[in-house]
Amino acid sequence: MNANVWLPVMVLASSFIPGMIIFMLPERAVVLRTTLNLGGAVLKIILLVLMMIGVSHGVTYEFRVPFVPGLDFVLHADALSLMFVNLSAVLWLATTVYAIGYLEDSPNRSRFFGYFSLCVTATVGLAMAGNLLTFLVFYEALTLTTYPLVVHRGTEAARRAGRTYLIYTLGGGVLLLTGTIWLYSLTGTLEFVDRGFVAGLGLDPNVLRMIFAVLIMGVGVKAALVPLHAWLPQAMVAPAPVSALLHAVAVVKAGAFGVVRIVYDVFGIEFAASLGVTLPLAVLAAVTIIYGSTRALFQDDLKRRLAFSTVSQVSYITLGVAIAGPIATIGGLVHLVHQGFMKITLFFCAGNLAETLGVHKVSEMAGAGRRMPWTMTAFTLAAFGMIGVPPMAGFISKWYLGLGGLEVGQDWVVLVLAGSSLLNAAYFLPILRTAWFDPPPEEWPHERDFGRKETAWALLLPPIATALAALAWGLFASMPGTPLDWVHLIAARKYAP
Amino acid sequence: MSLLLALPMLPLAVAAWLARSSRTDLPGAGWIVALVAALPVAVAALAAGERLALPDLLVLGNSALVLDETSRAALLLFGGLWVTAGLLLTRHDDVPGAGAAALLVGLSGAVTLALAEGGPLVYAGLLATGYGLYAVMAGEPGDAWRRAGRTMVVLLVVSDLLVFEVLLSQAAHPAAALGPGLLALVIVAMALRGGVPPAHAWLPPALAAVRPPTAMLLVAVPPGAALFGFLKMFPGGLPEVAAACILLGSAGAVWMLFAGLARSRPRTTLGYALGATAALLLSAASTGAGPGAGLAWLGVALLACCAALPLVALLRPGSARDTAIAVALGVHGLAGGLAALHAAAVLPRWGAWLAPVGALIATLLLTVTARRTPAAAADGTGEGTTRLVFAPLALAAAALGLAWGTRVPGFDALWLAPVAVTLGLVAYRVLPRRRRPHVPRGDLPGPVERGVGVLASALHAACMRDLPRLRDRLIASLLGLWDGEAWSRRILYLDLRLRAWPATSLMLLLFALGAAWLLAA
Amino acid sequence: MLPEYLAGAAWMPWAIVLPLWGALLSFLFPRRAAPIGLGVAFLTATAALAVLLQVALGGPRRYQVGGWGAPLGIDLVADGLSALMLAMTAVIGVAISIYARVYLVAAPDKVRRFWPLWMFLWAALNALFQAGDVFNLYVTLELLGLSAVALVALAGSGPALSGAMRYLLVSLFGSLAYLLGVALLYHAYGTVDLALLGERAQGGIQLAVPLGAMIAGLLLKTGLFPFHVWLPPAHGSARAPVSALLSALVVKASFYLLLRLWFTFTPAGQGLPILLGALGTAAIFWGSIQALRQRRLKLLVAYSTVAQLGYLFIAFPLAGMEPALAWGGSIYLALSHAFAKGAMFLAAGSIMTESGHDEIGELDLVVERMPLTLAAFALAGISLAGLPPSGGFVGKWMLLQAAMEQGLWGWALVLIGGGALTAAYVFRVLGFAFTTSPHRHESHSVPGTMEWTALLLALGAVLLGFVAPWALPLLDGVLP
Repeated sequence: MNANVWLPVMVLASSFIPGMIIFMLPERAVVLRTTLNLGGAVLKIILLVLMMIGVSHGVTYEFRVPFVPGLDFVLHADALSLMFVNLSAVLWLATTVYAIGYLEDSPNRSRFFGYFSLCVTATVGLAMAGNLLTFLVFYEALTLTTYPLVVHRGTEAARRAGRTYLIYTLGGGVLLLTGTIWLYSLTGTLEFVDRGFVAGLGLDPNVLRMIFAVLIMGVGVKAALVPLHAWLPQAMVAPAPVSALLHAVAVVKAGAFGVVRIVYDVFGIEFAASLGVTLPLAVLAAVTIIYGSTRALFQDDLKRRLAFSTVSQVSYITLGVAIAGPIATIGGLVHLVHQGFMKITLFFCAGNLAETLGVHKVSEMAGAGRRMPWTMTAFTLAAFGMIGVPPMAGFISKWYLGLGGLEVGQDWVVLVLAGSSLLNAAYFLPILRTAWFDPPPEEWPHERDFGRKETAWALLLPPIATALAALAWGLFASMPGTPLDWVHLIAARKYAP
Repeated sequence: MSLLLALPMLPLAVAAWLARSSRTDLPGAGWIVALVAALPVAVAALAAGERLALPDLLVLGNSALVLDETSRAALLLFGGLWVTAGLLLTRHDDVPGAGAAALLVGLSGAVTLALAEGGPLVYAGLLATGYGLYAVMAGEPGDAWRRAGRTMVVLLVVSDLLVFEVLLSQAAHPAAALGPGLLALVIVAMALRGGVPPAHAWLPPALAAVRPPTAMLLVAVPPGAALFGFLKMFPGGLPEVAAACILLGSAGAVWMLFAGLARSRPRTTLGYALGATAALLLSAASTGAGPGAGLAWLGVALLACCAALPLVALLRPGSARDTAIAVALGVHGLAGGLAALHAAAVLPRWGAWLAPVGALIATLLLTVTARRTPAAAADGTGEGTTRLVFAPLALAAAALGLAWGTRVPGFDALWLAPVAVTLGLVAYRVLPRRRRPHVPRGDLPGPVERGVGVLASALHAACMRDLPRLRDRLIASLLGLWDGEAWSRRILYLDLRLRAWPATSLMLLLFALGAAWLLAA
Repeated sequence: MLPEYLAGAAWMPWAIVLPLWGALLSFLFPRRAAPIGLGVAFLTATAALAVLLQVALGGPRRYQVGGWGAPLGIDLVADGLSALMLAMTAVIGVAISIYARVYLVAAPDKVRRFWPLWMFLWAALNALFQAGDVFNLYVTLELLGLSAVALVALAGSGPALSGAMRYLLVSLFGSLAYLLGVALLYHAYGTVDLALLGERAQGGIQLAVPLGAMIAGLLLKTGLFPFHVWLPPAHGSARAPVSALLSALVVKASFYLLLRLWFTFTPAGQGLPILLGALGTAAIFWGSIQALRQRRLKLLVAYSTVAQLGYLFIAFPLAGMEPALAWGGSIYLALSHAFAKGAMFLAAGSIMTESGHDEIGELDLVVERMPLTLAAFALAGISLAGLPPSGGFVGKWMLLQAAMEQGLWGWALVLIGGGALTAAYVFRVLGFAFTTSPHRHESHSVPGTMEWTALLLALGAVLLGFVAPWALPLLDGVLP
């Protein structure tokens, strides 16, 4: 037993233990709760930095205990999982700061932050899962820990949304379980391996195709692939930090990450391509991209518009994975990070508008740019990123995706990207125009006064930080240490030399 | 750190500082803009050539900022225009902070475009210029700009996407030549962005709706961005599409001629004159910048002349105004002739005479515009007098001079200016002075716009009404299969039956016997 | 290894004798019944866990009461299965005892009747789990049934009495069928010792008839569909600790007995296993659907027991090629169901105490007032639904794996569908618990002990998911 074994567990514990303690805290213990929250978040980042240094020096971090007969519970830190863990940890910190400001004076905060920490724990565990079984465990845990967050408001609408959410995600979990156990009964192993463990076993390709379909449907629910996306817009009744976390990091990304794991580490991309399952997946992703954008076009509720935008944007990751070329893979994986930063910014800003001005609809946003310039600047940066405007991070993703599509001779991908960008522009630019150039109303729906500041610091700093990060990831994409750089490393391992 | 890096960054920094202020008016905003814009002009005029590689920027690794002849021309054009616009703004005292910030964002984009080397950076510059200009337009008072602004943004986005495709394709197949499809994309993208007919429809109404500083920028920046974007991406030009370009340009010019003469308002006419100029530039751009970046300088001269026209309306009648108009028309004609020659160099015989026709029409329309432009009231009411009109003109003259430095014009180029101006004067005199009926939408075929509208509303209905209705019906029909009440009754009935003692006993007996039988078998 | 005083000591009879004494003492000193019962509960649990340790480290054990050998005297047998069941009873028994100590404070007249009966029931359970012959099994089964009936009747209300009456009749009826089987076996083979019977029985009609009768009787007592009709009224109307121990422990006893018989005689043929599996399937769906229809929380939980018992029987048709996986999964499910269902009934009891009713539709605000109880309910529900990482998941995984490896898709679908239904009724409760209602109910405070007991038990159900690698090897020698 040494530190290398326990480091992954400590990363989990750094949010799990604070979460458990927070559950026990009385509602009034604001200072202690905040300290625990932020302390856990910072500690997690420190641990991750340690781990990243280790991984770059070739150390393996693996925690393994026997779980069910013949299978272990494995936490494993490889380059891919570190990418997702880092994303979760950094955005968790931002969201925690934001949530502290957002939920000031609202009831049930101990419960909220407790589940919030558990939710991150599940995400981190999911990222570090070393086999499909462990992945399944955390996948379900994620469903269960996010449910209380979705219904946090306790209204009838929240309850209905929570029910829809559960029906979809638990259904997905059931499918994933079925696929997992089916695969296990055939292969006898579930360990994630670069380039897959299914290839070369001489199994019936038709059965494998069916297993692939079942597994992808299982994770596709969380990744909001059409037609399994309907829970996502409904889940918008949750408070803004939850939506932010749900959309940028936890739930939809878990689904997308699952797609990545299944395609690369279960089946192996070359083998999956030879089975002929990647093209249908890519087409499904393309349909989702266009469909989500089209639906977003006509939503007046800001958060709903963003939700449909998420449906569309997350499928970029799936698309990149399914195109089955190294460059497209880079595009898809790096979008996992980029979309996280951009989408979380957008949700933070939407939350700021709702919290400070009482603005929930796009049509009410006229003149918001003058009233809240910093917030709207962050929003603008992120929206341009979503459209794919250089030098924002979204451009890098789209660039690699398009390039990857051309590389393997699938030129239609570029058309999909172009169509999606057009639609993105069509639903984001009117928001920007309204916010910046239309005259503000006489009176905002529900304005709170923050003195000379436009809103509270805790609400303002996180979106600005994430927006700047999204800018930096795009502007300095070729520098060492950026997500793109890390993704290059991952992609090199997922393809046969 | 290099000075080149500071050029695009400085406007952005100042813009961020300005946007922060939520005050609705900033008295010094015009001065700030002018001051910031003076830096590129100074650099273009004074600094030595330089190349600053930015390997870490964006993705391709070959991004760089360069200061060569083309860049100088672009810097002078954009910088000069923004300085002038800034100085003009000092005369207005209700400049919102956001408006000035938008100006600076646009300037940053334009400067980036001017200095850029490498596809993505050019692309970034184009985008920032386009959206910045839209923001400038959106800062105008009133609502008249909205319709035109919307069309402009749609064209911009489509153009951006096409450029993106071309860049992608170039990156994916660096060695291969562009296929005919991609070449068409390049032309279409630049035509959409630069206001070249038939994508000019937004220009005349937009020009008619805005104040002079914005009008000046609207005149020169879109075609300028398109020209320099083209030259930056394809420094050697695309000779294989020259014929297509010249055809497109000439057809557009003829269209502009008829449509422009049919209008009566000065700004609207200016829009058509500009369309013709843009068409000419596009035709010429396909041949490349030429030695010493001659075409770049010619472009600067042509566009600066056009840009001066909105300012002429601010001058009182008198020798200054006459001089300004004369210089503008003269320089425009000369530059147009040179540009036509430049384009004709690589063209087949039939194309060689089409190019001058385009140039002729452009100058002719500009002449008509100048004649239609009323002078400011002599009594000092209205916007008053400004000599700033000479700033773009000086720029144009200087640019023409520099272009002459690379190629001394012969009679081939010189005949065009007097002929075109004379024809223009004649046309103005001959045309009846009646007020034409107001034509608000430019002359883009109405059906296209209506068709798009119908499509959009159909999509809207599908998304908001039909799809949910379809989904609800599906769910309802699925739920209809499950008759909850009936099943509930059945379950209750069965439950009661099962509870009865005889049933339990009988089932127990049956089970015991069945189990025994199964075990024995 | 174990120290000598632990390894050598005869813990097996102590596990039976201690609760018997406890019953006697608490009967004799009714005023001090609660402290006596609680103390004895801890002692009994210690003995039972010691047996578990002995078996885990030293292998199966046999203890001859009074020194007489098998055919004549009474033998106590403890193998891995017994030890697991003993340990399960010990942990849940302690939890229920602690809970009942607090719960019954409000009803002093119940206290003096509850503790002797409960101690007696515990003794019967421990004896049943360690009995080595079919007759002793009968005796313990009868004692168990009688004390359980009396405990149900303890509640004293009308529904409870009629439920108890029905339970009594069912219990007697089932025992009768079982006794018939025992008599026939003794007639045929001349012994009641399980091990000897296993050696002598050769199949044929003379084994089939008694076995059929015994199995039928046990199914009746276990409450497998369609013999479940007595279960919801009895479990739903009893006092909370009684419901918990009935659902968690008592029904497991007859299931244990069924397994014992099955392992001893290992009947050949696929007919009966498939019949049992089919009944299990019917139980899963019937119980789940009924649970979804219930308006009262305790009835919902009781019907959930009906459904969960069905799972245990899915192992029979799956045991053909993968006996270890199927039986292991089934036993593990039984263990985790005991924890989860105990926790669920205890939580339901807390909720009833707090609000005075258990209407599901009016549970709103529970989450605010009793977060621990709700957490207990949720964790138990997670284990029941087989969501990872919980004991229920491990059990279900093993069953599923057994089904998949043999290509028996039908059973796999039943398992998966049943899990989804379970999740549906669990979240039906949880969903109501999160809503905020405009009107506030009057509420009574609930002692923290009650909430914590339920929560810890539920945590146990979840943590069972992580101890499978240590628990399952115990079954190695037991399974056929």
